Amino acid sequence: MWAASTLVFVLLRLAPGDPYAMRFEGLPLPRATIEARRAQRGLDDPMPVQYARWLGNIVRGELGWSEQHQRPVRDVIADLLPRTALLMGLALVTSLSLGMWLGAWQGTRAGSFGDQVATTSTLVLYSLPEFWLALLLLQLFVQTLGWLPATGMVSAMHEILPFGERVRDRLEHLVLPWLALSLVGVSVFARFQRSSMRDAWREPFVRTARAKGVAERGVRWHAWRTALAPVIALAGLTLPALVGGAVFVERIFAWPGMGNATVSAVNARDYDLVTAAVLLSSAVTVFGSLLADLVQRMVDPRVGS
Amino acid sequence: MSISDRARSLFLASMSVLTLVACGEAERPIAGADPGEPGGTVLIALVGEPRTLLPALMGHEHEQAIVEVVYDRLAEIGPALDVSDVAQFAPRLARRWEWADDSLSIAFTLDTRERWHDGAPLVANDVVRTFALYTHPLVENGTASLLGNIDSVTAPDASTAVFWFKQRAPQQLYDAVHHMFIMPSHLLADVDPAALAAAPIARAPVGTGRFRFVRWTSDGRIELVADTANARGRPPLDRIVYEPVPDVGAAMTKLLAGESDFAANLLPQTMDQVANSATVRALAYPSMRYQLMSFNLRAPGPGARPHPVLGDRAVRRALSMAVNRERIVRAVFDSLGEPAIGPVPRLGLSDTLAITPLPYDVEAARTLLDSADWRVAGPDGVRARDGVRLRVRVMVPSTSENRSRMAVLLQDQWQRVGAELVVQQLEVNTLRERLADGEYDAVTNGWSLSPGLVGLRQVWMTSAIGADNYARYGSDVVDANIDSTLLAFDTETRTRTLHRLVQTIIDDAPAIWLVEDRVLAGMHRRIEPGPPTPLGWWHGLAQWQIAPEQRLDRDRIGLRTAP
Repeated sequence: MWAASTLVFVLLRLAPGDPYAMRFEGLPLPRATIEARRAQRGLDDPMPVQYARWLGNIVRGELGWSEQHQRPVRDVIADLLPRTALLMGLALVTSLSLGMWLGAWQGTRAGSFGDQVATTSTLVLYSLPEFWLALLLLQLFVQTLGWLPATGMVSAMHEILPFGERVRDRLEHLVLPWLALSLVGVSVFARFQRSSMRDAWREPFVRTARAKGVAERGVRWHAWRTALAPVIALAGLTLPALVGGAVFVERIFAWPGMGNATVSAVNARDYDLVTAAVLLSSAVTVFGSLLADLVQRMVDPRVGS
Repeated sequence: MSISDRARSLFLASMSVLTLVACGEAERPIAGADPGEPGGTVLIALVGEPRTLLPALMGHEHEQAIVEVVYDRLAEIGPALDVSDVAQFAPRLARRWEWADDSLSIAFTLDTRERWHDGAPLVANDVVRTFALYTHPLVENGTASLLGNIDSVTAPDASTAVFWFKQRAPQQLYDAVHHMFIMPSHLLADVDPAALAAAPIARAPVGTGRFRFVRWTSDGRIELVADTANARGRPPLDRIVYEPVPDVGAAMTKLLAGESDFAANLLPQTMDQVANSATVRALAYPSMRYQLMSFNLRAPGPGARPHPVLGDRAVRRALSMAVNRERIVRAVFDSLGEPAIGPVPRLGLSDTLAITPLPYDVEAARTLLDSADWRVAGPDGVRARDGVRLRVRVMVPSTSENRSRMAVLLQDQWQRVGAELVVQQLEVNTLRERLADGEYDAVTNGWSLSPGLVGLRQVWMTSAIGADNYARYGSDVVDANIDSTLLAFDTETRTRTLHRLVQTIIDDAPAIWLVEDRVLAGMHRRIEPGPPTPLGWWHGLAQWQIAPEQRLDRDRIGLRTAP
C-alpha cells in the first residue's frame, strides 16, 4: 500500500501539469492568483516536504481536498464508493457463482457437445472487450428495443417517484452495466473453473470415490473442492475492482463510480483524490490476497500443511 | 400484450436478481401527479459535473449554464451585442442607471422589488460585496481581468450602487453589468475569500434569478424549480434538471434515448443521428469562437530569437496560402462551420468585405517559398534552406477529434508545396506545459471572443507573449490599434482601427485561421427555445417553454419537489 501510493504520489507530481493547470484552463487568471493558490496548497514546496505532509495527513486519516470536486476527498469517496461497490459487487457475485457453476459443469463433461458449445460461447465473451459489449447492449436494449434506460444510476426525476418506482428505477439502471460486466466475468471464471475441474475429474480419488460407492453428486462435490484453488486466487485478484470500478463500462453508461472518477482525477491532476483511490485499491488488493489465502486453506487443508 | 412487450418481459424476468424490473410498458405514475402550473420539465445533459455554483468562482460552460438562471446581472446587453450602445441595455436587478457628468461613475438604482430566494431584500451592499469578491486576488475568477477599468464600487444608500471607473471607455456600462452576477452579501459577509469554494452557498446557491436551487444530489444531478415569487414573474418552465455525463458520447446517448431534452457541443459528425431522430431536432447556435493553428514565431524555448522556419513572414504567408480552408471546413464540419477570416469572427465585424484574407493559391505559395530560397532538397519533396528542413511540428490536444482531423488535412495540403507537417497528439497537461515553456512550433487551438472584443488584448498584444499569445507575435501597429479600437467612442473610428488591426494580423500570418464553428446542440422537439444568441445556449434558458399539448408526463409534475 505504501509503495503503490508513494509511487503514484511521485509520478503524478513528475507528470506535466498540476491541479490548477486543468482547472483554470482557458481562464484569463492573473499568474499571481494561481501562484497564490499553489502556495496555499503547498504545491510550491519541494517534493520531499509535500510527501512528508501528505504522509502525516494519511496517518491521521486525512485524505485531503479534491480540487476537481471542491470537496474533501473523504466526502467524494464516500459518495462514489457505494455506487461502485454495488455495481461491481453484483457483477462479481454473478460472475463468480455462474462462472463456477458453468465451469464445473463443463469440467465434468469435457469434450461433450454441451461443453463445446459452452466453451465456444465463453471464448467469444472472453475475447470481447467490455466496452464493445457495453456498446452492443446499449444499441440493442436502448436504441433498438427501448426497454432499458441508457445511462446514469437513476432517472432525472428519481426523487419524486413513489417508493416502489424508485426501486424499479434503480434496478433498471443497473441492468445494462451489470450485464456488460457479468457476461465477461462469467466467461473468465468459467474458463478457469472448467480447466481445474477437468483436471480434478481425472484424478484417481474420483475413481476411488466412485468405486467406494459415493453418489455422483458427492463425487462432484469432492472434485469441485479440489478444483477451487485457481478460482479462489482469481477471485482474490478481482476483489480490488470492487473499489476501483470498471472505467469503460462506467464511462459508457455514465455510471458515477470510482473508475470514471479516478480517470477524470488523473486527467485533472487531482493529486489527493488519485492517491486516495490508489491507497484504497491497494488496501483491497492486500485484503483480497489475504482473503484468498484464507479461503484456500479452508477448502483445501493441504494448502495449510 | 404485444410481442414486443412479451419479449421485454421475458428478457427482464430472466434477470434473476432483477425480477422487479419485469413490468409493462405503461408510463410511470408520478407521486400525486396533477396537471400542475403551466410549464414543464427540461432535462439537460452537461458534459462534466460543475465544481461550484458560485458566480465568482465559475469558470466553465457547465457552471455558467446553471448560474445564468439562478443569479442575475444588473442589466443585460441587447441582442445586437453592441457594448457601446448604452440604449440597448435592458434593466435586470438595476431599474435604471445614471452617468456622472464626467462619465467616470455610473449610479445604479436597484429594483426594490427584487428578493433573494431566501426572502432577504436585494441591497446595494450585495453589489459592493460581489465586486470585492470578483476582484479579490485569492478568488480564482476568470473575469477579474475584464473588470480592470472599475476602480471601486460604493453604496451611498441601500438601493444605489455606484461604479467608479479609472478612465472613460465606450464599454463602461458593459464592463459594470455583464461580467458579474450579483451575489448575496448577507450569506457571504463572513466568508474568507480564500475559502470561498468551501462556503455552503457554493453548492447551494441563493440567487435572484427566475429559477431557484432545489438540490444537488450525490450523483451530480442539479435540480432547479421556477421561482414563483420572482419580481419579473415566474418563468414558463416549472423545472430544469441538469445531469452530468462523462463525455459527449454519453450526452448523445441520453438525448436519443429520451433521457435528456438537451445536450450541447455535439460533434458535427453525429448531427445526422440527431437530424434523423423523430423526437430530437438539431440546433446550431452562432458563436464568437474560431479555431486556428497558431505558429510560434520565436525559436522553441524561452528566448526571443526568431523561429528558424516560422520566424520568416514570407514562409508563414506561403504556408497559409497553401491551405484550402473551405475544403477542410467542409470535410470536418460540413455545413456547420465557415472558414474563419481572421482574428475576429464575422459576428465581431461590421463589414467583412473590408477584410481580405490571404487567398488559397498553391502556385503563389510555391513561388513565395522559392523566392525565400526554400528549395526541394531530397526525394521526399520537402523543401530545405541552409540544411534546415521546412518542417513544422503541430501540437494537437488528444481530446479533440476535430482538430486532429483538421491537422491531418493540413498535412496533406502542405505536402503539395513541399512543407512537412508533423502532428503531435498530446495529453492536455503536456500540451499546456509546452505552451508555457514555448517549446513548440505550432499549436491548434481555439478562442471565443466576448462582444467587447477585449480578448484581442489577451491573445494578440505583445504584452500577452508568455501568456495566451501562443504565436508569440508582437506588433506595435497591432498593439496601438487594439487600444484605439477598445477606447474609441465613435463607431467610425472603432470600425476603422478594428479593420486595420485585423488586416495587419492577417497579413503577418502568425496563424492560419481555420474555422468559425457553431455550437451544435440537440433538443427535444416539444421545447420552444428563445432566439439563438452567440452569448451561449443557456442565455435565455429562463424563457424556454413547452406548449401544453406537447407536454410529457414529466412536464406535468408541477412545482412539487421531493423532500
